[in-house]
Amino acid sequence: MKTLAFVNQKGGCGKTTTAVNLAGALAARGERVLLVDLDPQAHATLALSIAVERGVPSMADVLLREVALGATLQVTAGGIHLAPATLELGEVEEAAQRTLFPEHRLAEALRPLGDEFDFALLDCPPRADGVLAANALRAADHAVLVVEMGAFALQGALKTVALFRELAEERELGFDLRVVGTLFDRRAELARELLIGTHARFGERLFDTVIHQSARLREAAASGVPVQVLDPTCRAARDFEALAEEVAALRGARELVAGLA
Amino acid sequence: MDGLALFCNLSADGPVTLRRLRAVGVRDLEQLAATEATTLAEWLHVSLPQAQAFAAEARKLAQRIGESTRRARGAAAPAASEAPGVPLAAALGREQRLVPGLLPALDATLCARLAGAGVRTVRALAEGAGLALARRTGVPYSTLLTLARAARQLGTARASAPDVQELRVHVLIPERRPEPARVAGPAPVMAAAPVAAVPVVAAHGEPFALPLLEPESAGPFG
Repeated sequence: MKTLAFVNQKGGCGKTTTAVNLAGALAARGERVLLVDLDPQAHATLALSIAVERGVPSMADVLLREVALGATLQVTAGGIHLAPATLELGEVEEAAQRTLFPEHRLAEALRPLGDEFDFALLDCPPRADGVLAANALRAADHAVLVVEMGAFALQGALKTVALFRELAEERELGFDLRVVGTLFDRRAELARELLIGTHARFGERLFDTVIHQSARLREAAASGVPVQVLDPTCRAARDFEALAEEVAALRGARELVAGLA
Repeated sequence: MDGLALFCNLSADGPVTLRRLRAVGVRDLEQLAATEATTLAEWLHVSLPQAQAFAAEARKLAQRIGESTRRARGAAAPAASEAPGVPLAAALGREQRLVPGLLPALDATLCARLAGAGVRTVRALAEGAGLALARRTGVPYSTLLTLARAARQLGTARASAPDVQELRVHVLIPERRPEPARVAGPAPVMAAAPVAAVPVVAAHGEPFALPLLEPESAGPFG
């Protein structure tokens, strides 16, 4: 199972949209996809039209009460298996202060599902220094920094990278950093300049595919389905199809270890 | 993301054009920039003026990202391996002129015909072979493809030759930079060292030009 965490300090840069629609594109290729919502705002859960009722296990139970992650899974539109979030997930940060190695919990919870899924996509909250993001980074083979092609985006991305570097050193994390550009409008000169700047800074770490700004993506989220289900021929669906192709070509944890050997 | 992918995102529709260009063997932005507009028009199924505009954009971006990357990384002079969009084989090929016997079946007549169409180097042959060139020169298309393949192999072989390190130091120095101070003695590799201290002049006055990024290395994430 390849595990990718979608991260950025900044909100509204397209983390959830990327995670949900990439999950849809990978599922459309026939991959077995697990999407883990780690954001207390539960936007990925909402974007797939799931409402978690009282008593139904969610990610908060996994991280706070050691419920098995498999017990939370719900099959959503497009064939994605979702581990949903609720507002209660916000309590994890506080509970972490009373717990030993709180950032190890997600990696342990994902381990039994390693053979059941080809990909696990982790949608992180817009806070890279919290215990939820630390859980995601510890569990991930690849941290995907989602960079919006808008004002201050590159500066924010560089700050996040600096924070990751500290985290990686402090907690001995071993993930591979990748970058994806989102909300790109090639008619806007600022967006074009930002893409050139992001390319100059991140080079080969930047995915070839850039996700274009699209009304279809907003409609898909409002309809509670990935864009591949709403309109598989639209440009946004093509963007995610291309991104899925690149992600499928990434090497997973076992392959990375084999490569080192 | 390489320069070619960046260009496809900026000047075309992104993944579809990128896939199409890679399918016809375009490896990088430099190669695309050097491709004739008529060939591009065939590859991309666009009109000649569109292809000409496309090629011009590619040339501009190839030059631009060289500057942009160096600025972002805070490097006064990049290592040859870091110079974006200038593959070693292409750089070497640029220097190698076509002469009879250099490639199998390349005789004086073929050399003259190719030169008449402006194809005088190994690189130009490797990258320019196409239907348009076949029509202009009267050389059969299949012969051109065979020659282009041999030209690419020659470029690759030269790139892996033991004297590559020495050659690329010279080839990849941007032409617009001031001449490095002359060092007495014949050693060409050592003479290249002062270039590292030549500051890159950042492009100013462009709309929305990005501020200089932090100069230090990003370590394992850079």
